[in-house]
Amino acid sequence: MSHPGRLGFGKLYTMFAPPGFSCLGCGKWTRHSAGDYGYPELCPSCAEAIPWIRDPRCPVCGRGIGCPDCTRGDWAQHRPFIMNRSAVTYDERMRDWLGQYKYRGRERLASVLGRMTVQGYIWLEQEMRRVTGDRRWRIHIITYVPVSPPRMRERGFNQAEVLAAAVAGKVKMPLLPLLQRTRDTEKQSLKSRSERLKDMRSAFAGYPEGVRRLGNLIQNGQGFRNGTRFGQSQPLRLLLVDDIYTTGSTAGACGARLHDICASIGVQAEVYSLTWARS
Amino acid sequence: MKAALYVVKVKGRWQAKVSLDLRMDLLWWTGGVESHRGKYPAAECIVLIMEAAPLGQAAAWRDQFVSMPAYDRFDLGDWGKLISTWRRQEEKRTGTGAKGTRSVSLWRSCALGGREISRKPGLARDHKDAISGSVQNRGLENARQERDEPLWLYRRSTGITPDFRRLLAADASNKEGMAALRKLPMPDEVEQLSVALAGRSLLLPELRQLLDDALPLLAGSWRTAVQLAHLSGSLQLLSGVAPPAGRRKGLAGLLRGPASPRCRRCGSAVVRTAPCASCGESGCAYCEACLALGRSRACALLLRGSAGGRAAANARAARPGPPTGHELDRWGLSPAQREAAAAALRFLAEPNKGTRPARFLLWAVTGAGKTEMIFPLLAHVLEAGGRALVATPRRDVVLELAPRIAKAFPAEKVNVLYGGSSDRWQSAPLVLATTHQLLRFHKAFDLVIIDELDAFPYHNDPMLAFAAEACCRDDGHFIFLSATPPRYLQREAAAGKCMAAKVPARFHGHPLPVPRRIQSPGCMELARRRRLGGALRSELKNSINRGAQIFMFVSRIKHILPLVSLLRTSFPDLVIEGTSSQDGERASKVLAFRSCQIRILVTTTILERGVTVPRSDVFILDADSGLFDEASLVQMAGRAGRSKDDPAGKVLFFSPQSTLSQRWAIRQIQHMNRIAKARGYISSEKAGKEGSG
Repeated sequence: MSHPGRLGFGKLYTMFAPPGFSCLGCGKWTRHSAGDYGYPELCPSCAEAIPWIRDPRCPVCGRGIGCPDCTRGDWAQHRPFIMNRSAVTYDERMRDWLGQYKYRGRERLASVLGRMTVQGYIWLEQEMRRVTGDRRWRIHIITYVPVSPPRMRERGFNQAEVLAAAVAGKVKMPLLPLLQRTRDTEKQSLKSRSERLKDMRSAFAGYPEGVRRLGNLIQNGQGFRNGTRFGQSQPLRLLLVDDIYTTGSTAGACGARLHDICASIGVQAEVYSLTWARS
Repeated sequence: MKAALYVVKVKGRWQAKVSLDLRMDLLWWTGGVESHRGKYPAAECIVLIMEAAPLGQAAAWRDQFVSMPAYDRFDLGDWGKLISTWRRQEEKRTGTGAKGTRSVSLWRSCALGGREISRKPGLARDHKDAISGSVQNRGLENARQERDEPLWLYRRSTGITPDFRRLLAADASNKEGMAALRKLPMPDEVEQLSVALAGRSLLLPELRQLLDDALPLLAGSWRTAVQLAHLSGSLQLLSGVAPPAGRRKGLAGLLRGPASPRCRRCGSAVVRTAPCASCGESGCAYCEACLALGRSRACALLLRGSAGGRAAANARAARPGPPTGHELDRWGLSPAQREAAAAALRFLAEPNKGTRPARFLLWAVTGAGKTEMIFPLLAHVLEAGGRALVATPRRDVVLELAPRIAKAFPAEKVNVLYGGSSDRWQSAPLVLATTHQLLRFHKAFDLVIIDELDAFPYHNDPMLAFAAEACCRDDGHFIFLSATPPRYLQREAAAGKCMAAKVPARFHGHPLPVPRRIQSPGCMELARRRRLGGALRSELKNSINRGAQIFMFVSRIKHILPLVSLLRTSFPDLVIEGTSSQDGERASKVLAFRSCQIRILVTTTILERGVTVPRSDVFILDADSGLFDEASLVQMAGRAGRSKDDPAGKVLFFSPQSTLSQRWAIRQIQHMNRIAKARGYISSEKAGKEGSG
């Protein structure tokens, strides 16, 4: 119903009709919703099949299984982001959901994927609170991986931005567009790891409007609950949101830019990466 | 996407126009397009209403625009007022303005977006605001340069204005798809585009695939080429989702609020909206029903080519007279097929002057040889220079039919369309397609033949019904093929509202096997008792001794496994398998059954059509189940006695109780046999054999 305020025939009809709906994940008509899991749009079997990553094996990239990439020399020591955490493993079903959302444009899935990403953030926060012993550990600024303007016009939305907005809404911290794409990289899925790393390095730049707003925010400290001031001693924690983490090249390139941006306004930054899925 | 919107006065009348490449329009109306100079009257004046409006709004405003004498005295302020008043009314009418979901559009709030956010730094906004806020920010750079107040572009008395010059000189390279002024598409290229798009209904991504595939020279300058084709009148520029037609009338309007927008491509009501960076609207409606073929949304460009070039129209005018018997001779039809095909040909020869396609029901019993019957109909239309379409719900049927049609029409180009087929963008006079592909056509065909009308997915899918209707020309003809037409169509045929012909006999001239009902416990009961009933067991033995293969239909997938194990214990030396829609090895099992390796196949209604084995008996368990209606019982019964060598297969309904569906199915089959006998399609000798056997 598009008009929730009115009592319509539609509503009366659904009152009397046998309750049922089409599951957003598998499309099957079902009477049982996974509302108990927090996903009323899904059927229980879809909700149960979500491959959550509750206990990441790799402390760096958040993969649920062992991870050779992250122990490779250079990457292990000099990484532009502290760590990545993902809500789910990118399996067949998740690939289908993301395809439906990102390429087909079934935007109803946005809210489901958003809530899943929020779950990923909650786990990240819990982990950090446990590790640092700081019970008030939290992210300060949320940002996302940008898409190029032509892609944006074609698709009509940026999936990373939508996921980031869901997280920002949940944790009540500011969402800022800090990055922009300088050129359109070709489809990432067709490339090898080394190609991706090379290609990504110069693909991002700071987004002036967002950077200006970040500067204002830091100067007058508005919006931060305890009026924290950031400087050399107190690093600013940035959360970089994206849909998928594959090799970490995107997160790496964006992380490097974010460090540059923060350096330009005189704060030290810590970049955390959060993605919906880890492939 | 966004498009320019302007009004132009030509021959004393005002027109509103949407443009993808405004330079072409300016040249066109001032006589600057070389190839068309002199063909069209020059404009008296041109006023730009908006340089970049969301396509959906621009098209909606254009569609409601009516020329009025008062417009002659309008100044720029008046034009501005005209559009803003309309927008307010529209918001009120569709009920979106008050809730603030659709009314905030980019070109109004772009300046606001940035300020609002910096005024309240650090405060998290809720999801929707956050998205629309930054979506709007991203569009800023472009939007600031584009003007949204009306501008004079041209007046005959004073000539062109500076804005005209500015727009004409706009750098073609900053928008993709625009050709440089020095390298405009040639007139014959534009003509080729018009021909390629004739009768098509395509979204922008589909157009680009078509261009890449068929007209690669135009791929880089599609905006320019499309706009030229549009100006010459062969192409309509529409938005994918149409605004609601009006308020619901009376009580419905009061209770249910305004009507919803409709998808122009598939006809479904659109209830989803999403913020859109492509047009800047925060509530751009999109259609979820036809997502699988690319997303249709309020700001998506939908191109409709006007059907057929001039040549085709001429050919249609010179339609040949009523068909003669001679036309049917070469197809080698049985008498029953021949009579029905002749009736269908008479229907085709009758000119249709109505505003909707005429319809004809060809009701052919299972195994009548429907495919052979459509050949003369296709030949008739193709010889007259028309276009014909055969649509069937399933891909495997398309693949099976394609070589047969290619063999019957060796001289014609046949276009075979299904999800993932390679020749999607060629245009051919004869098209063979799965039903979803019909969404890509609009008023293209003179003859549309729809096979298995009652089968999934036509059944209860208004989208496919809409697509089928929309792809036929208004003066075209529809032919439905079915062994079990839906009740409403049977009634219409009986009442003479829809012309119809019956093919009551199979091609081999033997009567249809009449089902027999046998009292028997249901599947659940059999499984519980762990033994087959006496009647079922002895009938199975009879069939096996006769050497027949057995189709055993059950109503539910969960009954298959218990029944298969039960049968295996009773008949340990036979190969017995079960399959269903959830079985990954279905295709291989069906193949094994066809090649006689499997003796008994237990299955659900998924195999009620299409699979034919030479010597077969049909056992239907739980025939009283609500899942088996008259149509599916008749279809399942139609699996028996298909072959000339074994025309008297057995069909048995096993059920604890008799139901209407079972009685009607038996009656329908008997009825067909009676007609066949009366018309002499069944020789008495054959009928007699049936009686005694």
